[in-house]
Parts: sequence; structure tokens; C-alpha cells
Amino acid sequence: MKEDFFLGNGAIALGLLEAGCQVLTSYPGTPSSEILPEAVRLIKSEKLDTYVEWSTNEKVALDNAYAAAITGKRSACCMKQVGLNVAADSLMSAAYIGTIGGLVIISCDDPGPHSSQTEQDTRLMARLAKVPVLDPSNPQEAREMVKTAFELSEKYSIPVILRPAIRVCHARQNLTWDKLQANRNPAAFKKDPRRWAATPKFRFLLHKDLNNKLKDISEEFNTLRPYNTHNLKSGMHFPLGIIAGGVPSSVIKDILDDHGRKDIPLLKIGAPYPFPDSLAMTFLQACDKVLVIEETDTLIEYCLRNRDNVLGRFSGHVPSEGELVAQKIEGILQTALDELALPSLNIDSQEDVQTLVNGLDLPVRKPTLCPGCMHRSVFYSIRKSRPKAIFTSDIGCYTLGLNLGSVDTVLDMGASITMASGFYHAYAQDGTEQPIVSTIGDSTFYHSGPAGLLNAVYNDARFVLVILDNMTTAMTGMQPTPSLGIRADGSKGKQIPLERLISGCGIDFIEVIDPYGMKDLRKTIKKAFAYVKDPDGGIAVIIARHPCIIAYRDLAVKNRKEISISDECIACNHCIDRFECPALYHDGEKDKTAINPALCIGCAVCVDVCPKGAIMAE
Amino acid sequence: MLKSETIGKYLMKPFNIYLIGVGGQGIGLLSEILLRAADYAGHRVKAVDTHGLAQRGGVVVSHLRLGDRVFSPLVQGGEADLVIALERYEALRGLKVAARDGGALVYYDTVWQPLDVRLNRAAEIQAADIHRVCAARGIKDYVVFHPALEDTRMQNTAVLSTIHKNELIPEIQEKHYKNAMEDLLQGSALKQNLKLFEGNG
Repeated sequence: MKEDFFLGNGAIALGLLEAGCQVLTSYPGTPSSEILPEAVRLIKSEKLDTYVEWSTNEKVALDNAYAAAITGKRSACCMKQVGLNVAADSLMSAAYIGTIGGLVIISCDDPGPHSSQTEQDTRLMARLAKVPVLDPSNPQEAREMVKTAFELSEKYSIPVILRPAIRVCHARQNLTWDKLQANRNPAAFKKDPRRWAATPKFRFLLHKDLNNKLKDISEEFNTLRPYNTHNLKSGMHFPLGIIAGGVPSSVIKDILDDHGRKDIPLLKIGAPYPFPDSLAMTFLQACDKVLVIEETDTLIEYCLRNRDNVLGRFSGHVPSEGELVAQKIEGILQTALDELALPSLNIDSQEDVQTLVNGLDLPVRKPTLCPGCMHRSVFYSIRKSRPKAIFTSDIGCYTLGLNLGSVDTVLDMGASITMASGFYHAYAQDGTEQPIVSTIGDSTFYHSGPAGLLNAVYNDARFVLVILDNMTTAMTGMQPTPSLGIRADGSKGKQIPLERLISGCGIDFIEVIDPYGMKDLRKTIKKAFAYVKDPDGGIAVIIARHPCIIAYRDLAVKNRKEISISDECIACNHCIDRFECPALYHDGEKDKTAINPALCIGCAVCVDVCPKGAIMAE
Repeated sequence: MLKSETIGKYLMKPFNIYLIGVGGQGIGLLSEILLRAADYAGHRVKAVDTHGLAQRGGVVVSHLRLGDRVFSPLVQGGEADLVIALERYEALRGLKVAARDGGALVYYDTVWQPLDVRLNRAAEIQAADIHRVCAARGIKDYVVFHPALEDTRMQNTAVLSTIHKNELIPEIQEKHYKNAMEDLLQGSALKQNLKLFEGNG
């Protein structure tokens, strides 16, 4: 028996390996990114031969795991909730065709959102795809649910989704565990083209099968303890009951416990789809009113057949956006109790003293690029070179180029390129020459860049594309990219240089440059625009390559300089406003700009920024 | 490795800790040291951290809850018995969103100015402002600052030392903190941090 602290994502990795998962694929994305590295850690320490890969995107990850699953192996793939959109095409079809070995799709949700483009609810994707979904309330439960998911998947020959929310993924908990053993299902694909390559006629039959499976699973979910369970006392009736799932069910338990509210029963639904209909009906019948608390959207509430006595999002009692943090849930419950004239929660009000704090102006602290980050040099140079351009950008640390005024659009992975071509054609139609600069990170480019670039080249769009190559997937925690040729477990993979890939997309202008040299970068941008405007030209690609300051601390700044500000400084704030390095600050006493030595990395890129030449490097 | 056999020390009420700082200051490490120290002391403990975009120079928060009957690791607003901040502005934010009246605040008095302050668009906050808020709310404040500390990455350990010297977390003793640090740090980093932990108060 071993014991250690696990991150929720580590607990999920543990559950996967305890269940004998043989193939694990993923594309990183907060809050899912640590599942695969935690699995790698356990695979190494336990000497397992589980296959792991960082796939190039989520669709690729799901297809790879799916193929392994239909050979009879237990497989899983992990992603963030918006990653499931990328994999949606595979998911919808895999639900119909079904699986042989267990297939678990782990899609991590981000209510808030803390680090995502949307607050979408994976449970609704499960309903759309018609596959079962499990919604853990803590790391230990997530670990157990992985095993349940594999069993369900194999019993009903259906992919199963596990939907941990961010507060499960990034919670830490002490867990005990035993020796891990690899599952030894051999790969044995049995040909059956009517199923694995089903035509529309057979899809109809598969759909019917799928619907029958869901009916059976729904029955099973009615009694799937401890995930779906209530604490009603037989024969008793209650004025108010609560239905909750996932993380909010833990919060509700704490609140009811703290206030000693044994008069409010709780139905916990940890396996919400296919909906445990009769279990929910039993609960509704035992309560005059029922409050539904679920993250992030309305699955449970939507599935309740009779909503006449339901308080939730449809009735306006529960907010439809944002994380349901504890004080919000307490407020919702308090309102419900007041409306029903039930005893209140007795929340201490601290409002009087709060006003004292509120009186002090507390400025917001926006996330910002790190001191020494290569992206800062690129964004500063782009804006300086082409201030009137449209700046399409993408998903990654460099989204923070927003702060430097060089990011106008962020839609989804790869849209920096597709939107650049879209903008080009929209303006070209009017005969307007609109400069467009697109920025995308290296990992994002491998994820969804090439398809859009092929399209843009083929249809003769004209823009400058800057690939921000910091040699890592920085925002999600420094996962390797295909350009490094390092695989998920640290072993050697085949390197795929960006230059070769871009050239293969039909690009004839490719310049590689270190963006720390901002003057040269501006010259290159100028050259690129000349190529874009040339009737015989095309799309110009600049690869701005410099190591990430966090991943490669010493390599990124080889010779650290001592930076100081001379008396020439007139505190115009140009450097702080436009270059926005956190190490630059306003010294109120001297009324001059100053350098915070604790933050300055000594890259000296800012020297080029000051209009008065007041920033000095030694 | 961890002493789960001693788990079960009963806290009448959960003890809530709210950690706050700026991305890059080492909130994650401090949180994990506290988590492990609490475990060594025999507490049942749950925690939750911030990852992803916010880590890049944004506000980073970690919640820790000690107690036998704790289901969620999230500290409710106004319910933190102890707020630990690694920066002055974030100390005030922690007071605002998390601190319980009558609780405690310990913070490292360094300043990472938010952009509006760097641009001279918002006023600076002084340690005296924080003290005034604490005094009005019956919150005991502990200000940590070591002018001689060369490595800013060790500010979290200076704060840890103050937490220990003032016994700000029930039942956690010196050996528990040290065991936790030994789990998470190695070599010269461990040596230097232990020296700082023992030396200051």
C-alpha cells in the first residue's frame, strides 16, 4: 500500500491505470493538461508499458484511442471541454458504432471560465452525442468513476465521458493505492465493415441500438450508488429538497452540514445522462419544491419531466453564467428559503466592515506576458510596423498580446489564419487594401494551422502570418511540440520542422528570425508586406523563434544585462503602456519610470523601446 | 511516506486557509508545503489551486481546508481563518474576498504593481492601509519583509517561517513543516529554505 498527495488530474491518471488502460492520448488544455503527465509518472514508477501520446489535436487523440478500443484494448483520451468540440465529429460517430474494449473520453470543464474561451458544459455534449457521462465531485470519486466508466463502456459497447470540472482537476487530496498492473488485452480487430464502415442504412439501425442502450443505462443509473443517491427518509415529506451534481454537490453538503440543516434532503446525481428518471421522480414527489444546483448549464433541470415545482436556472433562481462558488450557492439557497418562508441560514453579514475595504481602490491585476517573453517583442514590433493592420490571433500565452494592442480577434484554435483569409477576401471584394497580421503559436499551428493555411494559399489570400515559436506549449505547462521530436514520455520522436510543414502548405516566403532583435524583425515585417502586395507574391510567413523564458530560463537570456533608467526619462509611460513589461513601473517619489530588479530578467529588449533613449543596459 | 494513521485529530470547525499572490511568486509550492505539513500533523486536508492563463502575471489563488468533515476544498468568501498573501495588493484582495473578521493575515510586503498603478492611473496602497482594515475587523496582521533576502523566490519560505513562529495553523509543528519541505525540495534549495525557515520569525 502506497500513499501520496494527488492532484485531481493525478487521481484520474491513477484510476485509468488501475483500470488497466492500455492506450492514453491527449492534447493539453487547462484544466486537463496534467492527466497525461501524471499517468507518465506512474507508468514509469510502476514500469508499465501503457502507450501514451501527446496527439496533435483532440480529434486526432480520440480517433487514435478509438482505433485501439475497437481492437479490444482499454483506451482513453483527455482534453479540455473546448477540445471536445474539435473531437465532436469523431465522438458523434463513435457513439453509433460503439466499441469493444472500454473507451473513456475525459473532457474537463472550466466553469468561471478561468482559462477557456467558453463555459460550455460537456454533459450537454454527452447528451448531443447520446453517450453516458459521469460527473465527479472530488478527486477520489473521479478515480472511482474512471473504473465505472470502463465497465459501462464495455458492458454496453459505448464510449463513456467523464466530466471533471476544474475544481476536481486542480484539487489536491491524499490517496492510498496498491501496485498497478497492466491490462493484457491483445489487439484483435475483427473485420466487420457493416459496423466499422457503416453506410447510412446501417447507421439507422445503429442509432436504434444506441437508443436502446441508453434506456438500459438510464435504468442502471437509477440505482447507481453512491454516484446517484439521496437521503430521503421513507414516508417523510419535505418542503424543500436539493438536486445537485458534481462539484456543487460537495459545496451543498458543506453548507447543509455547517448550518445543521437536516430538514433539507439532497439528491446527488453524479451520473446524469442518460437521466435517472425514476430516481428523480421519487425525489420530486417527496418534496414540495426542489432546488437544482448544477454546473455549468442545465442538464439535470432540463431532463426533469415536471418542472412545475423546480427552482433553478429556468426559474431565474440560479445564475446561468459563472462558477457556482460557495457563497453564491449559499445565497441561492437563502433566497429559496426566504421565498418559501422556511427557516433561514443565519449568514453573518460583514457588510459594514467590507465597505472599509471597498473604500480603498483595489486595481485589477490582469494576466500579462512574463518579463523577457519573446511574444512581447513580436507584438510590440508588429504594432509599431503596421499600427492600422487587423491583428488576428489565437489561443495560447500570446493571447495576452491583447495588452500590447496587437490582438484584435481570438476565436478558436487556428482561427488566426482562417480569419485572416476571411478578412482579406471581405476587404478585397471592395477593392480595399487592408493590411492583416496573423499571430499563432507553434503548438497551436500544429494543432489546427495547416488546414486553414492550405485553404488561404489555395484561394490566394494575402496577409502576413507570424508563427510565435517559443519551442514549447507554454500556457498549458510546457508540453513538447512536434518540432522538438520529444514524445510524451520523454522518448525520441521524429522531428517535424515548422519550415518544412509551412513550405508543404505552398508558402514560398518563409523567414526565420529571433524577435529579441526588434529592429531586424521590423525590417522583416516590411519585406513581408512587400511580398504580400506583389501581384506575384502571396502569404508571407515569419517564424519568430526564441526559447520560452519559463521553459528555458538560461537559454532564453544568455547574457543578462543590468537595466537602468537615466535622467532623460520624462515619465511618458510609453514603455509601460506599449511594451508592458511587468518589470517597468512608475516610481511615484521620483516621478520617473523605474526597473523592479526582482522582476527584470535582463533581456534588454526594452532598450529599443524608449523614445528618449533613457533605458540603459550594461 | 505520509502518516495517515494519525489522521483523525478532530477540529471542532474546519480551519480555512486562503493563499493569494501573483503568478510566478511560488503560491503553488507554499500551498503544497502547507498541505503536506497539515497531513503530517494528522489533519484531514483538501486543497485546490489555480493553473493556466491566470498564472502568467495574474492573481493566483490556492484554497486549503483542514477538518474531518470537509467535502469541498473551496473556502467560502469571508470564511478564511488565515489569509496568506505574497504581495501587498493581493493581501488587500485576500482581506476583501476571503478573510473572516477576527481571523489572521500574514503577508510578504513586496509590491508587484498592477498595470494601472504602474501607469499612474490608480493610487498606490500602503502597508498602513492594510493595517487599518485589519484593525477595524479584528484581524491580526503579520507583515513579513527581509531586506537582505537575495532570492525573491524564497519569500514564500519567509512567510512560512512567520506562520510557524506565531503558530497560526492549529497543531502544525516545526517538524511537520520541515518534513513537508524535505518532501518537495532537494539539495541546496532545501538547505537554504530550511535555514531561512529556522532563522526568522
